[in-house]
Amino acid sequence: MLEPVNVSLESLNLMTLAPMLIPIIGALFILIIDIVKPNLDKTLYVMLSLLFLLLDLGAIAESAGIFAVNGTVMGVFDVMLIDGLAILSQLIIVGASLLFIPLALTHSRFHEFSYPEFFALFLFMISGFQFMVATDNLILIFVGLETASLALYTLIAMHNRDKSFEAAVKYFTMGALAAGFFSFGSMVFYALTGSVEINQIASVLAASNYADMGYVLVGTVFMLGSIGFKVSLVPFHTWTPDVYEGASAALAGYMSIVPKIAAFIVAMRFFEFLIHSGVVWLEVILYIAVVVTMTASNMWALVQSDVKRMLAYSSISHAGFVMAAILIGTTQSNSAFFLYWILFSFTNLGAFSMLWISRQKHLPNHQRTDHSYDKFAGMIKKSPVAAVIMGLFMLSLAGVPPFALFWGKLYMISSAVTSGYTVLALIMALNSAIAAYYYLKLIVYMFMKEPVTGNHEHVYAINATLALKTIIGFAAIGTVFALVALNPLLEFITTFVYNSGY
Amino acid sequence: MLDHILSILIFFPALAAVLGFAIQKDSIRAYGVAVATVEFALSLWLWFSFDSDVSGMQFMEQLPLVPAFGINYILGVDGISLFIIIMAAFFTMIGIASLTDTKDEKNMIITLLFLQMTMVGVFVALDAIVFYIFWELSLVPMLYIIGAWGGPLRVYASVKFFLYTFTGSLVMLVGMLFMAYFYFQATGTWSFAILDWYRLILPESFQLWLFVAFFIGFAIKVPMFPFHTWLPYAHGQAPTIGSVILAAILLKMGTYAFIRFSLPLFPDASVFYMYPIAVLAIIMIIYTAMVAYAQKDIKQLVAYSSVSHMGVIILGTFALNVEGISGSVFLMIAHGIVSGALFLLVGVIYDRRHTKMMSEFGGLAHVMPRYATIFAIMMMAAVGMPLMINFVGEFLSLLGFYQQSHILTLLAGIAIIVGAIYMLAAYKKMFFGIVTNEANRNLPDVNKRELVALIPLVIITIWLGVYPKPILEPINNSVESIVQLMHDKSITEEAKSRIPNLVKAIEITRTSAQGAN
Amino acid sequence: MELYLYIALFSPLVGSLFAALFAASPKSLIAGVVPSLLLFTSFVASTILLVNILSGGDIVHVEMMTWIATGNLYIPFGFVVDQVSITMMMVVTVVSTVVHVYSIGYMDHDKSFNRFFAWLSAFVFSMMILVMSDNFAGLFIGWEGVGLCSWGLIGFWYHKESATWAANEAFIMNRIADLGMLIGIFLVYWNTGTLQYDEAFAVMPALNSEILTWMGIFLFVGAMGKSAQFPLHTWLADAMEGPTPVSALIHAATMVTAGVYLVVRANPLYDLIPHVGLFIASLGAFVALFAASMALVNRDMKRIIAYSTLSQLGYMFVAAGLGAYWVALFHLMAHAFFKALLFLGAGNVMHAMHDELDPFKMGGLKKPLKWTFIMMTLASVALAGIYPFAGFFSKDLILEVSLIEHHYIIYSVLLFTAGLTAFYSFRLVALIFHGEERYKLFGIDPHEAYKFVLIAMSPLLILAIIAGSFKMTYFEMVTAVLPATQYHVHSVVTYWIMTIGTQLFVLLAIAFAYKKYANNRITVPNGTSKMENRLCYKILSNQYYIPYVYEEYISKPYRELSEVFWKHVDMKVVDASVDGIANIIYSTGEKTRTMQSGNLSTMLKWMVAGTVALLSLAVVFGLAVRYSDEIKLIFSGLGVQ
Repeated sequence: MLEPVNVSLESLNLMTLAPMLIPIIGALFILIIDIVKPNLDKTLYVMLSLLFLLLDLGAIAESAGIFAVNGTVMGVFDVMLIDGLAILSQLIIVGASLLFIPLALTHSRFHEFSYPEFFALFLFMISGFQFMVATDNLILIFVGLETASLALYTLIAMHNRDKSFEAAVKYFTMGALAAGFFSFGSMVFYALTGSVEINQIASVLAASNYADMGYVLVGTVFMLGSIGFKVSLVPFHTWTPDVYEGASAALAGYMSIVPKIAAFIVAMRFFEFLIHSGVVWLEVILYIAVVVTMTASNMWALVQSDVKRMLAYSSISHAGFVMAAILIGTTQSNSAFFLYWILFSFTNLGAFSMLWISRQKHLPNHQRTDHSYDKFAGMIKKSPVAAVIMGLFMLSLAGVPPFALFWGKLYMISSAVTSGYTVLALIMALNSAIAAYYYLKLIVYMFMKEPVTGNHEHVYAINATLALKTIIGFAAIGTVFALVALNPLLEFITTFVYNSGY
Repeated sequence: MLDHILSILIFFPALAAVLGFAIQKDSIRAYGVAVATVEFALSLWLWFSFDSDVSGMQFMEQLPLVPAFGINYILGVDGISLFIIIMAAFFTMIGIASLTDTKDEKNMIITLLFLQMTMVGVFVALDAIVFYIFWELSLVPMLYIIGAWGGPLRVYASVKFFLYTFTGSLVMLVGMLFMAYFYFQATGTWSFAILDWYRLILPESFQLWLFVAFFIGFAIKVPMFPFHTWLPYAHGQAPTIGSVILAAILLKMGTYAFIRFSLPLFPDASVFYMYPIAVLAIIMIIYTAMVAYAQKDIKQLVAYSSVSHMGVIILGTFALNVEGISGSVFLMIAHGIVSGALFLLVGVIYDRRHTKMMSEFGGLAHVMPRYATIFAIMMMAAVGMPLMINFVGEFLSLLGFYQQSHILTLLAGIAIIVGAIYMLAAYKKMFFGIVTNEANRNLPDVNKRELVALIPLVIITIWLGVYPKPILEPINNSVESIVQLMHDKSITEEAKSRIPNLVKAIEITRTSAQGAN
Repeated sequence: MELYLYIALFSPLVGSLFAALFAASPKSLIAGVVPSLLLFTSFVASTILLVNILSGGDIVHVEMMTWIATGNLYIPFGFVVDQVSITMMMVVTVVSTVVHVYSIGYMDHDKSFNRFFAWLSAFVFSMMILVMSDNFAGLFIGWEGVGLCSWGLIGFWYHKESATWAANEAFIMNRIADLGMLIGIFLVYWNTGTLQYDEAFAVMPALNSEILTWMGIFLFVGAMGKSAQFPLHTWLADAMEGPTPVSALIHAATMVTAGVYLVVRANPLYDLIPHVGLFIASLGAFVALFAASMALVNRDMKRIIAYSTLSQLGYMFVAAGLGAYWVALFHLMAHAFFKALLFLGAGNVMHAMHDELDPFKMGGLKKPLKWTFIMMTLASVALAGIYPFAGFFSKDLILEVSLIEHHYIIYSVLLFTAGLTAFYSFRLVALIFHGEERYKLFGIDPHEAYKFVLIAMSPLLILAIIAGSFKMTYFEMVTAVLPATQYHVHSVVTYWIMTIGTQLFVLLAIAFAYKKYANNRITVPNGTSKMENRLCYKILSNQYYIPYVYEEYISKPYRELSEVFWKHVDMKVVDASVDGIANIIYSTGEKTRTMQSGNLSTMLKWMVAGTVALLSLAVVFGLAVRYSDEIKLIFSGLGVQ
């Protein structure tokens, strides 16, 4: 007779699931409301999602408290892993989402927001990302990844323009391939170690002292392929510009932050132990990938004629920049990673929102794309405030002190310096210099050129409602006065990263 | 209030600029003048309450910014930075006061006030990161001034200016991070405070690398040959006020940084690189002077001439003795005053004729005698006429470097010849001869608003040329402490021998002084 | 006494500033009178100081204030009135007072009357600083100051291209020399630790002779510029573009003698390095001959006098170089008087002839310009060194010096030059004042200058005549600070033979000049006459083609090189390379962006390609894994750990 399975609820420690469950509940709730009483106004859904996200935030704060007290917590058959990384990344995910959702409250109504499904899917996606970051079980990561991705594809498509459908399809197809890579990679590691828990894998490999390095590498290659796709490392980045262009500006901004950090966390969990246990090959590959991604995408960004595409490439370059953190893999670099990403999310969301509020349905005839540079020519004349704020975001992205992103760059380069990656540090510095050019290009257009057409064909703040203005103001303040919050932020991050052993 | 005067000096203009947005267009100039005057008065007060006998930092302020990473808001002023700050305030004042009618005057003045914040900030910052913040931030207003009010090539010029200097300073930033890391290794705590770094003695190999990293940042800013090509564009395209500020203050950031960072942090490297840099400086002096001689555009000529003079400043700095460094610091002030004045003068004629081509002029001395006189005075100051401000600096710089190398000083001294050549040739082209161009037949002479800016500069030029003591003395004290620090810090034999030990030398000064008395 | 010193020094400055007030306004007599009076004051003050010194009063040495003090360097505004500087002060104040008064008449009709006096007094002030300073830096102040004023005065008529060109030439040439001087000063400072004359000279004997030699050479280079010694001489002749009073004051009496003053002042240094002294003397002798030869054929009244000045400077340097400092100074003084007189006379002639400078177009002016004729003749006599005029005592003394020092070559050169001097001086006099009245051909009706102008000139005339008689008193005075070497030819016979021989030789030259040029057969040369086509004439009249050489092989190449530097080096190399880097980055972006085709299948291909690449790399690595140590080694170079 078998012993009756007897698991105490305490040992399951279901609290660890709370943060992921809350958005799911919220999503279902929204769907139910829609069934009960259709076509209610989007504002309702916006507010609902906000509420649930706030609850989620609360839950995460809760677990943060727990972590602060008694360190890393495992739960639910040790599938869930609530460590500093998980908490920090979830904070960023939910925080960014909180900034994103109100962007739905535009003046001119856009197709996607009229569906309650949009918000439901959005909440599903968030929980998916949360699952990705809050576990070290490859299967659960995969599940989270897929949940999130599928939801995201739909969200993109809901923008309801040809480009959006195209983007969604492209993203979907390539995502499928990436997913294949991921599962294959995990399979290899399972075959090698008989476990899908990253820490188990690590220990087993260490025990066998990496006897069959060849297989490890094959596995790593596929993992790298899929994660590289998510964080858009060259050459797995090709989807990024098209998808960003297809998606609505707001969503594009969101995509440049949240999905990536989820993937980064996985990368951090997975690659750093490999690097630390002396898989030189991976180190070299990552070194190359980082440099190529930074540099190449910068070069492509130089030659763009559309601001949104430029920002797309620039976000690729930023991704490459922070990928360096994983390559370096010290506590400082990992903290630098989080610091950088938080500051980046402020600035980048701000920049995309600026595009979002200036989105016009009917383009003037001389303008080919939604956000071509010449649209912004002479903006300072027409709407100075908007121009100044946009300029601020650009300067911040370029890494001009004392604006937000400068500090991220500073700390990141410093971490490279500290761990002896001199050449890398120089390359990072010089890349910021190259990048400065295309950010400057927009500033030049806004401040130094005469408007292309005198009449009011161009609109810069047509979609601006109070809500959006608030968001942008928030982002702007965050960008300018980052310096003030820097020290507590840095200490908070460092303790969390350190205590979770990275 | 005096405890925080430096912060006030930095942020008062910024605050004023923010409030300035609320001011109605036509009244903005008065506002700008008022603010700048107050700022100037404050800076004078700073000078007044500055103790010339103290060689170290004064009016220190400290405030933790990112203690976790050793970044603190540390300010302080010594004899070296004091006068550049005053000069910055002064030029902003007369710049705004003499601003000839420009479009979007409001934006211009607000930008100028922001620029002033950054300028003062650079010279009072005693924390590398704070220094870096202002150093980079100063690019932005200047970018806007050149790009928005400049000539036909303005966008190219401004972007080139920004990217070139930005690139250089990023390399410098990496250097700073290394410096901080070495300090961390040595002491176990992060710190970007310059005064902390002063206490750090690095092995020579490190010094050599770090020196290069900082050098790239500074050299592009100065600008040193061969990194100077952004300057003619910037000057050529910038509006008058832009060129004035750029030449008078912004270029000094580089040379100042050499004295604040490179010399005391890397004494041995400074000695090691002395000759190469001196050679560069000499190329700057002679080659650029010849290029200036070839110019057709008077403003380009002045631009190149200021590069040539910066060469002398660099040379004086790397004399690594008190005479030379004091000379170079003094020459920073002098060159600021003179080149600023020259650019103002070019602006005067540009406002009248909207051309800067010397061939367009000729015989101006007949139609604009006052203008011709002031121009002549400033020109003579620029070619280093004794009893005028430039001479003191050039004389000391060359004198100082003579101790290091005879032949190089001889070459550098050619400055006084080539300088005279292009200046006199230009003056002859513009002012002498008979009026050939009808357009110049009846140009109005300098008006009151222009005199407001020019007369004080003339007075300063002669006053400090005849009686440099009030400035030279504080400079001398601070420089002596730096040289002593360098001597004590240096580790190689050569450095010890090249950098004088003042402990005994100071006695001699006193005695010789009494002897002469 | 200090008070007088300050009066003597600063009253010219006050005068200059006063005149400058009126600079922009139309001519007002007061702007000329006041400076003249102030200069007279300065002259009186100097005289008092002179008397004080003659009556055995001690040297006046004041320190007004600190100028530059940093590190070990300490430079005050210090002034000293000793026997040497008082001599210069007297010369400067006397001549300049005369010239000022003279100019009131001469510049009468010039619209920039006021500006002229501003510059002129400013010059006197700088000159006073130059001679009175008690340290090298102060000397340099004056040195540059006079250069500046001479720039302003040569180019005074700035509408004339030639004038402004000459002004710039003078300034730049002097700058070349000043560099030498500056280096000399640096040498003095770093080796003696001070720039004060007395302290520095006190230390010098202790220094090794190589350093001293360099000091001497570099300081003398400075002197060469101001005193227009070969090869920096061309500017002096061109400087004649300036108004004639300027030529009289600056380019005859005072500024050009600054070089001599410097050597005299630095006598303790040059005593230590006789070989440099000999070089100076030889150069002086050469210049004396060289300049005189150019004066022989020149057809420009002022240039002739300028060349004679140059040649006389040569004499002074000979004396100074041979260590006879007081003789040099004495000749300097005497020369100042008669040469200034000569110039002012020439000024009168120019006025009468409406700025005609070619003596061949004059002739027979002795009737209309009686007084001028007398003055210029006497001045020429003095210049030629006829007994008992000033020139005799000062110039023949130099001949004796060279003889006694056994430098026979120098002696013979100087003797020969004395003959030439007499010849060209009287060639000039003869052409201007004797012979038939050729000026009638040009329909000019000359008038004598104002009375007060002539009266103003008279002091110079008197001095030119009697200056020689001061010789002994002067010797007594000045040798208090200068080496007191009496120069006496030991055997009386030789002495008389020499003296009389010289006199005869000179007289013969004069007679020859008269015979050749004082007759009525002289016509205005038109380039056809046999003599003008002689090679030597061509060479001389073209100043040995030296200006041509300078223009062709120095100025022009400099101009072209500058163009090349700007257009080709700076634009095409330095700047282009910077932009080039930027463009490379940009164009790489342009080229590689095709990767972003937007075509789904290519995108997938890229992904797969990436993976395959990684895989193959993995395989490679898998093979190489066992050599991982070496690989680590390589990559540690990249900073990888």
